[in-house]
Amino acid sequence: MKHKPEEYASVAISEILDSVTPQESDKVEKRMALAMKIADAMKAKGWKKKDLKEAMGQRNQSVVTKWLSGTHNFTIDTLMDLEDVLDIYLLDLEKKEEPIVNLVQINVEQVVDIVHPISNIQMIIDNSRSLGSSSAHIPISYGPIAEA
Amino acid sequence: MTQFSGKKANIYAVIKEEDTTTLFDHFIIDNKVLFLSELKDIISRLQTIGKRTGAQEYFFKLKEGKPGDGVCALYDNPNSNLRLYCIRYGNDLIVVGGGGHKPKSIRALQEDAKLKAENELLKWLSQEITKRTTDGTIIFSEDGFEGELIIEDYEA
Repeated sequence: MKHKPEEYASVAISEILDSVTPQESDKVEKRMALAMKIADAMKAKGWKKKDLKEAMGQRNQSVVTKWLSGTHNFTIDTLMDLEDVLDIYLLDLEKKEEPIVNLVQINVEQVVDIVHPISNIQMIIDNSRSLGSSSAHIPISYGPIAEA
Repeated sequence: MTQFSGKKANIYAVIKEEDTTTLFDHFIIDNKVLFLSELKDIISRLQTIGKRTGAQEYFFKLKEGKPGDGVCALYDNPNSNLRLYCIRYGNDLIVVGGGGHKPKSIRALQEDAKLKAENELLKWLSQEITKRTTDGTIIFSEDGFEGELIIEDYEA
């Protein structure tokens, strides 16, 4: 009889996954994404591991295998050299951070009472938790506090 | 395996008939006390393969079985302690088997009874899957494996 495999969720895996922090998980994903970007660039150039090894002045091909494994902790110098030989960007220094913007709901009537908007941000956020129907979305940027 | 499979790859586990947990669960249970951080890394990598990257061949140590049988190991650094065997079918599908502690010398690694047994089991399983895909009792669909997935008569 033909059938699909049973779905299986393992308790042992869940226990380990629960102990993985978002930072640890992010590191693994980024290392693997970096390896993919290097592999894609090699493919675009028609390069084998041997070609990258030579372009990077390495003696041992196992170094390239490690770079592509998605487990390697690269130094900045190696990443810069890889950028040069593969004509790709791995360190995007030009990219600007987005300002942190939170959308909070506030009651329009409450805005009228606010004399010093910056120093009252906390109050606005707290009040927004018990809103009625007359509310609006106002973006608030967190940044240096200006003198009132 | 629902915790690993995703839009990039389907990931399967192997369970022996007389057992209640998978080979991979045994691998976790056997090693979580001594090598927890390596297990966390292995599990995070399998999750990333399933959900983000697919099973790119450079994430694996290939040719750990017979020519063309797909038996491989998830990449492990020379200094790492654990080896995990898999069968890789392109970027979309892997069968995760078992593994164990990796002796430091290459000679000891090749002669390690536990790793050898895990490797032999996957080599046998790969051969049986190939037979069944040839005669049509197992098919690869876009959702992964379908068909007669109970494979009998393994002799360790």
